[in-house]
Amino acid sequence: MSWVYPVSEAMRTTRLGVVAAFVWAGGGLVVAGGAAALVLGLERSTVPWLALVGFGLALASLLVAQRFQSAGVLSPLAFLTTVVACWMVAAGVTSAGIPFDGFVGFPLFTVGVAAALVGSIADRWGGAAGTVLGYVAGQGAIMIALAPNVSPLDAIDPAAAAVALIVAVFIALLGVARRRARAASERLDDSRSHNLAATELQSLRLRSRALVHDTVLGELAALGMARPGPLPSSMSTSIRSSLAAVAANAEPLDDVLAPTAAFTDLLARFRAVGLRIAVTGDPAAVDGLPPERREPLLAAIEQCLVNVLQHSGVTQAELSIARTEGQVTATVVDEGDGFDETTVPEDRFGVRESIRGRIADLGGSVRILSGRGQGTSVIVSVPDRGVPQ
Amino acid sequence: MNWQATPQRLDPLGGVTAQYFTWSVALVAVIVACVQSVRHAGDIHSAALEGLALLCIVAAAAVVMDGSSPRRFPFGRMRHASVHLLALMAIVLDRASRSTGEGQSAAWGAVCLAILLMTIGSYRPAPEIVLFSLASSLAVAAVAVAFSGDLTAGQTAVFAIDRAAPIAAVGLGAAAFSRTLVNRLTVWQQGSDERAAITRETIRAELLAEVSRDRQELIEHRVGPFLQELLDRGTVTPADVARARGLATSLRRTMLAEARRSWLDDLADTVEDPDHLAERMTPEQRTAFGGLISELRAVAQPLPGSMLVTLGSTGAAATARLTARFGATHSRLRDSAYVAVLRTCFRHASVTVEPSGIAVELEFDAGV
Repeated sequence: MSWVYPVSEAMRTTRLGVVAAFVWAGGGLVVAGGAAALVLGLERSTVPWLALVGFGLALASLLVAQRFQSAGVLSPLAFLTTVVACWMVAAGVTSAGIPFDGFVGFPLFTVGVAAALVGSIADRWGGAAGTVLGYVAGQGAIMIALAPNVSPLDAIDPAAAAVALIVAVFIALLGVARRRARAASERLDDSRSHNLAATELQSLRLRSRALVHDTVLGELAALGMARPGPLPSSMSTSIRSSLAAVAANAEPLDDVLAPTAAFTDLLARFRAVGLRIAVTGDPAAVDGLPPERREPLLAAIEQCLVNVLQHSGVTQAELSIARTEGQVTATVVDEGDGFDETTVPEDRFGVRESIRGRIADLGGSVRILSGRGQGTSVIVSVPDRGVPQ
Repeated sequence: MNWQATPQRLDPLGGVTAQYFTWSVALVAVIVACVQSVRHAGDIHSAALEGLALLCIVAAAAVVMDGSSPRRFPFGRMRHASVHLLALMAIVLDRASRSTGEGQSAAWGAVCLAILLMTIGSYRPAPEIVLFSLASSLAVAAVAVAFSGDLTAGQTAVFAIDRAAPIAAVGLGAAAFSRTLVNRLTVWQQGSDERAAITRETIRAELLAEVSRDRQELIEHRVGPFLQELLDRGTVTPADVARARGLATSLRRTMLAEARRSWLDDLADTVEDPDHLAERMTPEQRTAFGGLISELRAVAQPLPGSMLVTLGSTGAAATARLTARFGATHSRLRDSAYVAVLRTCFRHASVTVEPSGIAVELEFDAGV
């Protein structure tokens, strides 16, 4: 997951969020204003139809302004419609005989706020100027409708003015405030790129070390235990193969054999040096894995078998392959000396990198059940799909 | 769809931006309360109750302002509930301090709560905002009815709508804001993950040659010639056996030194991390920590060699502590954005900046 949200995208998202907020808040107020006007009318046994139509138009204008923000003619049309709605509401309550007092102030306030909000939404150059214009036009329409009975000064609604002012300032400062976070955003973006490269480098180096461990280091270890004399042909072939593998200018383990051949070849090599391997379960499950999962799994199995051969003190192992939902599991079991993983010296890379490192790279898991004199079971599971990390 | 996701958690830098607006609206709410209180002082028959009401609204504003600070990230549900409760107390006390009926028209509590809720959409999930604001609206309507005095039924209804509707409307607006941001941020993040996968492949292809070259250099200096000579000769001597053991030990040491190298080694002057805990940090944690260190290096210019990172663990919790000393002429460090991001992705994060230096404490999951 990333949270270094680009500033330009953040500005657009915030604008869309603000517009959605205006529509819901303005819509809620208009509905409440309509309800209040209806209640006031019903108290006088009349329905203020003109005002109710005005509230309906104001609500529709909000929705149209949101839907067609970037459309050429529709957003100005929504703006004009809201102004007309303001006039209709004021004229409607007057014609219904509702007196201009503290109670009628609320319906007029709601439609005045709606005009300011539609003005803000329709303003494609930011929103602050549109908000002020919307407020002024809406209040003007209300003043005209109330003019015969109410003086213009009394008709001005300070609450609607306060809301319009807050909205205008809010919109104007939106871009400025977000740009203040730009420096941190850029620094974090750089850090993310650096971290991505470092992680990939680390992953490649881990696999490279695993390759060196499984090839050249293995040859040196074998030579360190060899008897002086003619170099056995199997050892000679193995050394040549190892030198070729580390010299290859390709991603480790990319040199993929055909699936069945790779698995058979793996077993044959260990059987040739005296390790008896009993294979159980569903070996075809390994073949079914995509190459980028199959090869690390085979390499991990190989390292398990190397450990049996070199450290267990027995010459027999059981390799079981199982396919469960979403993953393939290989279990290598021997009844040898066993070991305590926490006491393995840090410079022994076999378990840590050749097995755990590789499998962790795939999002898989490794469990080792062992103890001194109790044999060893290594259970390696890899997911059979998804993108490796 | 994650209904508990908040814009602040998905975009911490946006949360920092919202702080300016949150402070502004909180101040506006307090000013409105004070002005209305003074303007309509004649309606007040209990100054003590009005004073308490003002204290409550000031406390609600303080809770909002404090919660928007990067050092308090994230803005929690309890804090949100506290704002509503304090404002509702202010509404009841303000109403109780005035005469019933039309004397209630000067009451400011509901308007102030609506103002305080204007920026809550940046911090809390939409369903919670809707639930809390509708509950407060109903409570405010009930209070308006209770204090209606001799008003007619119609006037009482309009009075209740007048007081309750702004809270519900602003709540709906804030919820729409929250939902819009969460939706777009989530979509962007999914795209970002896909873009990162492509970038990763490109980087990997570029680094492959470097890693292959390093591996070949590791081998070709001593091990390669030794093995090649052995192949050419076709026999193994006692000296070869001893040399093979020596080379194996030497190769292991070299590989070990490389394996011990941490991503933090490139960033800090000294890294003390005997258990390799830096590798347990998630990519997001590394990005945030790395970004802060880059900011420190670029802006605060710590004294050369003074930046130390120490990592340790207690059970499942790992801690990273960064310290650095500043010179006499360091620029002012703007750490608030980084504090917000660190608090978003670490279990615990604290940053203490003093004229002489900085101390950063981070806690994260050490894994198994």
